[in-house]
Amino acid sequence: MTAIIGNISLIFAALISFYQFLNIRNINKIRFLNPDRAISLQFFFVLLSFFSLMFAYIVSDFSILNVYQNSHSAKPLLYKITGVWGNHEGSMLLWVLVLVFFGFLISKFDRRLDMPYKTLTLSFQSLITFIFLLFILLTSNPFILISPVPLNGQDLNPLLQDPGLAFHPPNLYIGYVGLSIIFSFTIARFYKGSFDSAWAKLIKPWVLLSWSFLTLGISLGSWWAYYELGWGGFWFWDPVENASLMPWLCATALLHSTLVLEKRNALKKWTVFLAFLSFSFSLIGTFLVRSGIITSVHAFASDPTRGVFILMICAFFIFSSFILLTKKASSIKEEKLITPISKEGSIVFNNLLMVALLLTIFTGTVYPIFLEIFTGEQISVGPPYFNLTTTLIMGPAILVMSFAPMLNWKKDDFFGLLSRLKTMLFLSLLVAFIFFYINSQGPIVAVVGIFLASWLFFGTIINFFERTNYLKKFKNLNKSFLGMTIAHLGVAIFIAGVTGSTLWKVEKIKTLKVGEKVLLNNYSLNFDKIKKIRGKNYIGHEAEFNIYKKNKFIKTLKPQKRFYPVQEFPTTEAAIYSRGFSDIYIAMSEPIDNSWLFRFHFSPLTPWIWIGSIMAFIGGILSFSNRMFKGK
Amino acid sequence: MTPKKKRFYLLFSAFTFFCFIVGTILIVLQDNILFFYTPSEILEKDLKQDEKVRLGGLVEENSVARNDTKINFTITDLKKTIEVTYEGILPDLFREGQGVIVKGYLQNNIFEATEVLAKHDENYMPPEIKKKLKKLK
Repeated sequence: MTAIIGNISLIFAALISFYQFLNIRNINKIRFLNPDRAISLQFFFVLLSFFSLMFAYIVSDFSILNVYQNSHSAKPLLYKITGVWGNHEGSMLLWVLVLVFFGFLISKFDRRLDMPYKTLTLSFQSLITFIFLLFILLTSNPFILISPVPLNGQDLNPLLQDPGLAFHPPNLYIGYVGLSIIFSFTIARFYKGSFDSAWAKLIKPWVLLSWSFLTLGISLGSWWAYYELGWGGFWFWDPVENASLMPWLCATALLHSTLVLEKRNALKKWTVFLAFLSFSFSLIGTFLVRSGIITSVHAFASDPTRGVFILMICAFFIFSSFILLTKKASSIKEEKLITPISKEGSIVFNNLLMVALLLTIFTGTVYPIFLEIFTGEQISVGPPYFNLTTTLIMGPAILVMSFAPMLNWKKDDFFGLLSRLKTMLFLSLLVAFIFFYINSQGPIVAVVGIFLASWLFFGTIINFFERTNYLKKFKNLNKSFLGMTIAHLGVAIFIAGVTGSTLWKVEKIKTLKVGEKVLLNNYSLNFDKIKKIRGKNYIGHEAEFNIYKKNKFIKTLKPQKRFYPVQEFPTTEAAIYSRGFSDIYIAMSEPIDNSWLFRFHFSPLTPWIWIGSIMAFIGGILSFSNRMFKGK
Repeated sequence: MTPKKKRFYLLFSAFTFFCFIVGTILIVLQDNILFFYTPSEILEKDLKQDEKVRLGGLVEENSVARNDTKINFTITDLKKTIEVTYEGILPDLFREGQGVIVKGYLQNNIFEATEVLAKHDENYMPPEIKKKLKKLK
């Protein structure tokens, strides 16, 4: 029954979305299925289908293949719900749900759009929805039945049974799929209106929204990897991680080029190009993750027809949009040239660096795939490639990012700029020097990292004080400006976090018996107890560490080693003590004779990675709400 | 400056920038490619002392031996075997008889691993290994 409702809803949604695309020129508001109604119906049916799948998971309806393969009656309720998107079919359904949700948001809440343009945009959005619904119905239907009905399910991969994983995909998808609405806005503009600053104003809040959620989604995933995989790292340059980073870089560039288009009516073609590129990379990302061409914890599908289908979707959208752009490029009235020393000049500079970084990450990610196809040689590109290129490209970008908001539009004075940078330079050198003094054993690159972080931090703070006339004008402060300030400060804090976490981390791997202790950066970690534990669907061991600093008790940490019998799958639950400035991290491995093997980390500044990301998210949302709800 | 000249400078700097980026990519990429071999292949190859590679195969049954944090085991492709040494923590899904990939250096026919990867799925067999094992059969 559930399966029938789910299936029929999907078919209805597909039919309506196709109908809406066909009626692209018919903007008559009176007809029964007018654009607003049609988009609401699409949203309703996809939501209904999504909830029926969720219902099947909650009641453990194992007559549905998808539920049987990914759930188990003993699984905690939270993971029954989140298990809906913990597999290929369900996660594609979530993808489409977000797709129609954005259309619905635009139709209901964006009062700034005129009717013809809105209709066109929604029609293109419906085309995307239709194609993805077709993909689900033809290759990845979550409602396929099995008989005889099995007694119990195969359970969800235990690594995915975690709160971090519950929230990571929905947030990521809001960001990822949000870029589709930018794409629809852009395509529609070729047929209605022109690419001017009014258009930039229209799309800006939606770019901000997608960007913010993409930021949040990626950092949630990274946080999960940090505490769940037991390696103590936050980023591995895994192709799947890169798949989410690439659209993020595009969206970041787009966010800033839209600003130039809005204020200066320039960079039109470039902004359109970025809008297309962002959506292309969100599709390419989907292809990389969903086609099974790469294997990782994210890639569930390995059915080749799916890969081919998504590849065709990618090719269709990417080629048709870029052909449209080249054909119509001459109709976009070209902008003024831009002077290098100006706000738009610095934005162009950073835009180019973002795209360059995108290109290097893309090369590193797909090169092994292409090489294997053409030569059969199996290679992988190591993290040093990504670390080195990213540092080389992001370094100059951060240098400019710090003072770019201070510059005037149109033209600024080069020597005037230099004199304003003196204070910042002094302060950030001071901070870098202090860090070097405290942490003299660290590598010299770390000092550069700290310098960049404080350079950006002080630049942003100074600019904030100057603009608000030292907080006197704080009351009538522009919320977008506040948002930008918070987001840029977040990036500064993030860079400090990454520097500390990658370059100053102290790692110890030791076997300990109960009663023994290990010393880690002035902390004494005493292994006092070990006991057996039993959860709802797992068994395992829990160690108890009491942490002392100079004989003063601080905290008890309890790392676990779990074993999930249904999937015969062990997991490591690291215990982390976060002090704001540093993390103490304990991961438990296996028993050796009568002692246990542990991994200990002391990672300075690591919490800042997530603090910084959250700040960037908050900043983005602040600007979004300001633009969306106040009109200006 | 005339618009024509400006346009020329613009294109010229864009081109230089592009070349610079592509150049950097190629140079850095060159140093960071890790080749993947099975035990039979790696023994045929004439590897440099300091060439980092990936070695993949199955962990041979009853080959895992521990000494505190040091671990020795053997990787096999069902034709040849290679002894691997590693110091550190093994991934959760490392098991005898299962597929594994190690990164590291071959020194005197013993593989010194710096990293051991076993993937996140109990049925998982790294695709590289699957393909190569198929070829051998």
